[in-house]
Amino acid sequence: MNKLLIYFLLFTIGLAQSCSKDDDDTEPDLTYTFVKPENFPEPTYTFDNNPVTQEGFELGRRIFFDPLLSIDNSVSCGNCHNQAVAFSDPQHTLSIGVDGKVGIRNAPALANMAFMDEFFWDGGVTHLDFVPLNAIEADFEMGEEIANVIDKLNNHSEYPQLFKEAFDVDTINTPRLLHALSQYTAMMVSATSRYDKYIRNEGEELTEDELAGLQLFETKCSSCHEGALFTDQSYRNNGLDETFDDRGRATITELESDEGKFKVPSLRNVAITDPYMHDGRFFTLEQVLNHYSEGVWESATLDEELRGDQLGIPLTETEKAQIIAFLNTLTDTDFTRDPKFINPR
Amino acid sequence: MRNLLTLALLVSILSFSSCGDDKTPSDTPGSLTLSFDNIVGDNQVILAEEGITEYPHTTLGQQDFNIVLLRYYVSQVTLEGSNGVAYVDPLAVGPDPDDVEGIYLVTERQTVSHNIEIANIPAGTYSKISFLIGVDSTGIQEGAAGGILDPAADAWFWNWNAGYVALGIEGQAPEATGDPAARTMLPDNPNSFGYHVGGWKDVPGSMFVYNNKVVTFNLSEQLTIGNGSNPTANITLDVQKLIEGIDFAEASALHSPLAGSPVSENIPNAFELESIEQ
Ligand code: HEC
Ligand code: HEC
Repeated sequence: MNKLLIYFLLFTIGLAQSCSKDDDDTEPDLTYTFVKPENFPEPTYTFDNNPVTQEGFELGRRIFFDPLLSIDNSVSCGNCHNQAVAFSDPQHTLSIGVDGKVGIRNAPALANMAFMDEFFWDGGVTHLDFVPLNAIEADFEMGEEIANVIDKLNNHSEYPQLFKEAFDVDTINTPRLLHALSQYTAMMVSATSRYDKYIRNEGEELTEDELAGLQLFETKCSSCHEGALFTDQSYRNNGLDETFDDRGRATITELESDEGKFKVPSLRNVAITDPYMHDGRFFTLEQVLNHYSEGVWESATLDEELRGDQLGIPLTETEKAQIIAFLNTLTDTDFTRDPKFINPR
Repeated sequence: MRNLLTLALLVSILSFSSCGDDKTPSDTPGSLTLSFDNIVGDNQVILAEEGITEYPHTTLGQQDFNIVLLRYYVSQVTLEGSNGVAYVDPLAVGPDPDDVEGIYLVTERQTVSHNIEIANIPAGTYSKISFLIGVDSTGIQEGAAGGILDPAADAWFWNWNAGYVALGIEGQAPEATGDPAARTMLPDNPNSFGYHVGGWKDVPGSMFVYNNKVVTFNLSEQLTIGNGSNPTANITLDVQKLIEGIDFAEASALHSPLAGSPVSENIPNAFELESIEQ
């Protein structure tokens, strides 16, 4: 239903563009419509159950930046997910929550959430709607109980009216809160980097080094950092450690064969989403490439692809520089500056 | 969500239009009430509170204990006719409490929750009743839901390994060594225990521990539903059988799919059909 609407809208845009250029009054405003980029797979998010509207999106945005979600009104989602750096956390290796409590993992960048099968470094959450419950209730993030959050919202001077406008409800409950947040996070589509414009033949050219980097990336990296999302969404051990303080995927599957495996992260906007890896141990892309080239550790669950004649992915200094040049083309400033995501207050 | 509902309805309509003979146009659907009674061996469950050191119950392994919390989700109630066709209670989830259909919560503390009425069952005779203890993938993969699936209301949801806790039992026992993450007791209670049975990822080819369990009763006599007949099935859950083989001293906190599986394995045999009132 929703999809049909989008196709219809896209179709009409197509028509509008093909007849006359100056007739732009007829172009529908897609600011609050989820549009799948041409080079992307189908979304996984259940938009049929939670159709995006301007009211719902703006409500989700307001909540995202509201520290009311935390126990002492000090931490909002935006504290750990900053739009200027693709909703990652530029300041901390492990995330920091209420009372300065140190978390267990690095806050990942948020982009293209509507296309993911599972969430978190260990894939413990299987639907975008349920992601915020962790942040709200973990004592090292927001440290608040969801029931208290719902009470605070229902007793607030403005939220009841905003939920009424977005969802036509008189009482706020958890699914409505989660739906509003998902409308905001599911709309975070990053697909207008220089790389995208090049790949979609939109008139963008890549430099020689960038093209060489793209080729190297395709042969050495894209088996894991695959496709338009730059992740095959599998769980792998890329050789960061010999023993594991964080069991990673095994926390969820409880399988020894998953010890030390983490979700292959998307590399969109990667040049600006440092620090890197599940614990934020690397601060630069040079460090990351040195890791793959010279720093891979042997362990029982190390990925087969990193066990050639020599551990890891051997790279010359030129190759490293070319890959980094390519990774820089994934930075999407339209996304990091998109006014619709900006905190209105 | 709607699709599933429609599918379930279609399946049931199709199934029942195919059993032509025992059905006349004037048939009116009926209801079946599942009435759950939680017991410990020969006794009714006596609920205790946090900090109480009286232990009215005994395990099959002769360890004393009390119960502070006992609750479970029931879903996918299915009736199978003598000719093999089944009626499945339709399932639906959504953000408003009323959107949730076909998933029920039985809580020892709330007597009203012990009776589950399945309405609109096509008239016919049935020889098998089954249901699932737990909430399966639909309840999760359709996204956030309300009512008994709302964690700010009645739901019991694992944030870290997203899914609903199928069955939970908490209490205190002299041999128990404390469960700091018990839902109903203080973190420093030295004698608490908490068994949280969750884990629903029944993904073919994966090795997740699946702890939702189907309970099946084959009926010795045909059960007639509809045309004025709205029977009640009296069902017991025997806690002795539910935690059979578990030693409080060795297991005070079971909080992951793997840890909870010994309890989950006991589920099918811990429920019994005592009687049917026609
Ligand atoms: C204290 C810092 C912190 C706060 C506050 C926080 N997050 Fe996060 N967020 C994280 C960390 C750390 C992870 C990764 C968790 C893991 O993998 O175990 C994460 C993961 C996520 C993900 C999944 C990303 C992926 O690729 O799997 C989403 C979506 C998300 N957060 C949204 C939110 C929303 C919405 C809020 C507000 C309700 C929020 N976060 C508040 C730190 C935070
Ligand atoms: C065998 C699969 C695999 C291959 C091949 C691979 N990666 Fe990774 N990559 C991963 C995994 C898994 C992680 C996350 C590891 C963790 O945090 O524990 C990761 C993390 C990263 C990160 C950090 C991203 C972030 O947001 O923290 C970068 C950058 C990266 N890889 C770049 C590359 C490049 C460049 C190549 C090719 C030279 C490459 N990877 C090859 C699996 C792989």
